Amino acid sequence: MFFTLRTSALNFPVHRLYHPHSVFSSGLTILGISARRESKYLICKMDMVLFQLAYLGISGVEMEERKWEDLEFDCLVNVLGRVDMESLLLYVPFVCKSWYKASLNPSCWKHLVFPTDVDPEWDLTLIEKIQDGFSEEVLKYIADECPALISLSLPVDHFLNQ
Amino acid sequence: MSSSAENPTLTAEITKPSTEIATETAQSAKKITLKTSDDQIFEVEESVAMEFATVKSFFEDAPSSTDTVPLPNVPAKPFSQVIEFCKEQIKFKANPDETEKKRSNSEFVKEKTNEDLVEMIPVANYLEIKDLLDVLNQAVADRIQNRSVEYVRSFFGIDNDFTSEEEALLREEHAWAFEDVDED
Repeated sequence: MFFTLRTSALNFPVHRLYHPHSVFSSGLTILGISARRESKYLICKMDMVLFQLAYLGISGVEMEERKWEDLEFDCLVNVLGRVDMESLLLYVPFVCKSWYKASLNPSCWKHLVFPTDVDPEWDLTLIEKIQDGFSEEVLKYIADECPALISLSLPVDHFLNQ
Repeated sequence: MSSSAENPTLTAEITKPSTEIATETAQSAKKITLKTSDDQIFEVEESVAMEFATVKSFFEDAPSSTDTVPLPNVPAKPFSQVIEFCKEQIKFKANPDETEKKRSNSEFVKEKTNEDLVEMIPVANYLEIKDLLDVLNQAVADRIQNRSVEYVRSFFGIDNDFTSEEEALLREEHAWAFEDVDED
């Protein structure tokens, strides 16, 4: 299993080495469902997305038995995989039950593109967190827990400065 | 001045249909008969029908078959639009031009209503026309992106099947995502 964190300027592969669970004492609590209220929006969002991914990565492995009516479900998942993250989080799950179910499919979360037009304040928070917490170990964890994830784009070129 | 400017466009208009006629008269090629779920018969050029992977594999199994191919999951209305797309695609097979192909594809979806797109997706999926499926899925994704829940529901003709309790619970689960988000 192979995972690439893609920023606009830098690609680096992270091989799957670690078992998760112990990785998190860092600033970026990827497992924080509690959407830490004191922190900024984007970090909250990121925490939760990754948590969701982590969770889905596991559940996605258990494939349900396929039925012919899933054809339309596959199409829906394909469409939703092309919708941006914001819509996938804020609108899509609330449309109806089958859409909610489809939005949980790991295929919808293969390519995560974090918005580039973020408020500079959030951006700063994100960078700070990443600088002291978003280590290679964190990436290994993501790689481990999100088998369906293909790319993750963060609005940061600051990785280069590290 | 104005007449000389008109002339080139005029000739362009004349040449365009004439090439279409030329390709149509050249289609003495084998035709394949397809029957849609609503019992409409379509006679389609073999080259077009071979764009449908599902139909193609049918003929690979029975090459000499002259039977009508039933398409039980395909209604006539979206099917005719799918044929239109595949005819376009074949032209690009003969002389590939990626930018022109992209332009033609975006033109194709641009003039389609939401309903057209939504109806064509299962057809493209059933017939396994990958290019078309890509084009359609992307078009739908573009149209529903950043739209409200209500908009998306009406787009697809979806009824809200959440009970108010379920919806409240779901909103609560997703509350973190709505922090700092402006209502729009």
